[in-house]
Amino acid sequence: MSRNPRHQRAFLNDRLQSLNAPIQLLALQLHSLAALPVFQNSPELTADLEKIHDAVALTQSALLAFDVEALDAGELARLRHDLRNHIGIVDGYSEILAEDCGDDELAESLFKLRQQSRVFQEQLEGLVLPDGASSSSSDPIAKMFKSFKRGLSRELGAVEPSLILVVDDNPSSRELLAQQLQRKGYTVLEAEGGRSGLETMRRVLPDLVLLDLVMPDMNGYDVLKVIREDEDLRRIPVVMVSGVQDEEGAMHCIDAGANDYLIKPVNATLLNARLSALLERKRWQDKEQEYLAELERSQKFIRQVFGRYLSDEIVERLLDEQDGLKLGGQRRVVTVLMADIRDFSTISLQLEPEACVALLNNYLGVMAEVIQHYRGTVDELMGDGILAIFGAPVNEADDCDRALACAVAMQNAMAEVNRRNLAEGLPALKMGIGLNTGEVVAGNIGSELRSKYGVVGHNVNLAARIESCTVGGQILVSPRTLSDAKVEVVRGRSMRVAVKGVEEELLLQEVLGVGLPYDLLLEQPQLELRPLSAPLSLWITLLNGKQFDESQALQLEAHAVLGEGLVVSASSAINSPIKVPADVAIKGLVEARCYGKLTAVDAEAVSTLPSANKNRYLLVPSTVADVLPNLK
Amino acid sequence: MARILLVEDNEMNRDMLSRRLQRRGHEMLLAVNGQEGVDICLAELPDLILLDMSLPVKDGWQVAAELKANPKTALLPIIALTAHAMADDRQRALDAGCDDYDTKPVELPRLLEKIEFNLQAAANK
Repeated sequence: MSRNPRHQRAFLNDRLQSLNAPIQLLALQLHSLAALPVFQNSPELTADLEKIHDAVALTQSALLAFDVEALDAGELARLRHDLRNHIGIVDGYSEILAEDCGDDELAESLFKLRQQSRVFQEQLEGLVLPDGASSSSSDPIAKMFKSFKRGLSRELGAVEPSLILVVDDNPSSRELLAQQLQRKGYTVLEAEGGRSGLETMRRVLPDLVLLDLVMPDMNGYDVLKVIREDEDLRRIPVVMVSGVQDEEGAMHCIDAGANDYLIKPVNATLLNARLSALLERKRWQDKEQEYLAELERSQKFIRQVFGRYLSDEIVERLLDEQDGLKLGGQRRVVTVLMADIRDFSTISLQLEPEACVALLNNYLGVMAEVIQHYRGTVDELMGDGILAIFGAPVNEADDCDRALACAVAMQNAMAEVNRRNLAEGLPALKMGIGLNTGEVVAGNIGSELRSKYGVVGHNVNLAARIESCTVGGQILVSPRTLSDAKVEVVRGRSMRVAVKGVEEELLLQEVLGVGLPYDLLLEQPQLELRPLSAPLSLWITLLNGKQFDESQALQLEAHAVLGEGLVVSASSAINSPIKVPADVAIKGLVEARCYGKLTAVDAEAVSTLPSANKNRYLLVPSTVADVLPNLK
Repeated sequence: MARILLVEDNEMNRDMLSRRLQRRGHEMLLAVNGQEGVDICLAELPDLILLDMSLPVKDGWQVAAELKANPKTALLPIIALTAHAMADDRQRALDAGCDDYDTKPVELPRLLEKIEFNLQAAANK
C-alpha cells in the first residue's frame, strides 16, 4: 500500500464508508422494528429498545466525527474501541430483547439486526491504517518532518512579521514588552485585560500571545483555558508572564496548555529566544494545516466523483492510476443492469409523499445492499429506477456472471422489500430488470464543478429499453449478455422485440436462475390457471410511445386468469401476429380505461385450455389488484 | 449456577452483561468501581470475578493484585475484561494475577465458556 497520505486517506475513508452501510441499515431496521405492536404497552421492552437506538446513534456520530485527515493510528484505535463498545451494546440488548419479548416477529427482526451488527464488527477489523502508513504517521515527529520538507520547498521567500498580542493589565509592563518586541521587528497588539484580550484574539488570530497571569477581570489561567478549548484559538502559542512571586502559578499553567512562561521583568534575550522558537513552530503548523486543508479538498472531490458504493479496492486502484480523476472517458465493455418498479408513478399518485419516500427507501436500501454484495457499482438512482454497472471502473472476468446473479438475487430480495412495506402499511411492489452487455463510455461526466463517474452510450439505453419490456418479477437479457455469461443460465421464454435504435429485432431471453457458484433460482410461485366461466370481451389499443389511436382498437377475448394476467386471443382473424411485448390501453376490464402489457404466453401453462385459438397472449393489467378480483 | 461479581463502571455495559448472565442462571453481584469491587468481594466471596480493567477509584490491575495477595480471596478466579484487544493489556492483566481475560465488547458464548472453564479449574484446585 502506498505511503502517499492522499491514498491512505482515501483508503481510510473507504473503510469508514463500508462501516456506514451496515450501520445505516441497522438504523433503518431499528426504525421499522420500533413500530411493532409488541412495544405498545411495554415500557421495559421500549427502554431496552431505546438503549439500542442510542448506541446506534452514538455509533453513527462517532463515525461522522472522526477526523480522517490526521491519519493518527492512536485516534483510530480509540475510534475502534468506541465503536466496538457501541456495537456491543446493540448486540447485547438485541439478544436481551429477543429473549424477553416472546414475540416471533420481533425475535426474527432482532436476529437480522444482530446479523448487521456482526457485519459491522467484521468490517471494524479492517478499520486500520494501510500497511506502511502506521510507521510514518503514528510518529508525530516523522510526520512533522515530512510536512516541513514539503513546506520548505514552497516557503523560501520573506516571512511576514509575526503578530503578537500582549495581554497585561499593568500599562507600564505592557508597554515595556511591546517596545522590546517591536525592536525585534514584530507587530504588536495590546489588550488591557483578559476579556478584551480574548476579543482581540478572536478578531485578529495573532501568531502568539503573551499572557499576564494576574489580572483583575479574568486571570491568565482562565483565559488560557478558554483559548485551549476554543476551536479557532487553540493552536495559538501562549507564553505566560508572571511576577517572581507567582512563578509556581505560571508553571501550573504549563499543565493547562501554556507553551512556556517568563518572569517579569522580562529579559530581552530570553524573550527573543523563546518567541522565535515558538513562532517558528507555529509557522510550520500553519503550513501543515494549509496542506491538510488542501488534501481535504481533493479528498472531497474523489468522494463526490465516486459516490458511495465503490469498494475499497476500486478506490485504491483509481487513486493509484495517474489519470484516475481526469474528466472524460474510456471505452470499455460492461454489463448494465437496469431495474425499475412496475407502475411506480401510478402507485406514487395514491400515496402521501412521506409514504412514498418510505416505500422507496425500503426498496432502494435492500437493492443497494444486494448490488454491493455482487460488487456492482450503483451508477444512478432515478426515482424508482436503478442503474448499476458491472465492469466499470474496474473490469473483472466475471462481470457478466455477477450481473446475472445480482439480477436474480434482486428479484428474490423483493420478498423482503414487500414484507417491510406491508409491515408499514405500504403497497407491495413488483420490479422488472433488464440486462445488457456491451461497450460503453465510462468516465467522469459533467463539468469541473460537478462531475460524477458514470457510463453513457447506446448500450446503456438498450438496457433501459430491455427493462421496459419486462413485466413485474421478470428478468430479460440481451443476446450479448447471454453469450458473454460463463455461468450456467436457467432460461425461460425468449421473445423477439423491435427496439428503438436497433435495426434488427432483438431476441430477448427471460432468465429464471443462474448456476454454480451462485446457484440462484427465481422464487416464483407456480402460476395457477383459472378458466373463466364465459369468455370476456375486451378492446385493446397498442400504445406507441404514449400516443394511441382508438380507431385502431383490437377486440380480444379473455379465456382464463393466469397468475396476474389474462390469457387472451384475438376475437377475429388478424392479418399478422401482434408484436409482443407491447404496451396497451385496455377497455372493458374496469369502467375506465386501464393500461397493461401484452406478452407471449407460455404454451405449456395454458395447454389445458380448449385449443380453439392458437394465437394466445398474456395480458397483464398494470393495476392488477383492482382488476383481477372482479373476475374470480 | 455460580455467584459472579461483575466490577464495571459503565452503567450500560454493567446492566447488559449482568442481565445476560442472569438469564443463564448465574447470580450476579455488581460493583461500580475498583474499591467497591474489593469490598464486595471480601464480604461476599463470590465464585468468580469479572473485572473491567479501566475503573475509577482503583483500577482493575490494582484490584486483581490486591485480591490475589489476600489469602481469603487468592483462589477466586478472576477474568479480566480488557477494552482493547491489545496484547499489552492482556499481559498486564495476567501479570497482575488475573486467571484469564476476555475482550470487550463481550461475545457471550466465548465468555460463558471462559467462565465455565475457570469455575471448573477453581473447583479442582
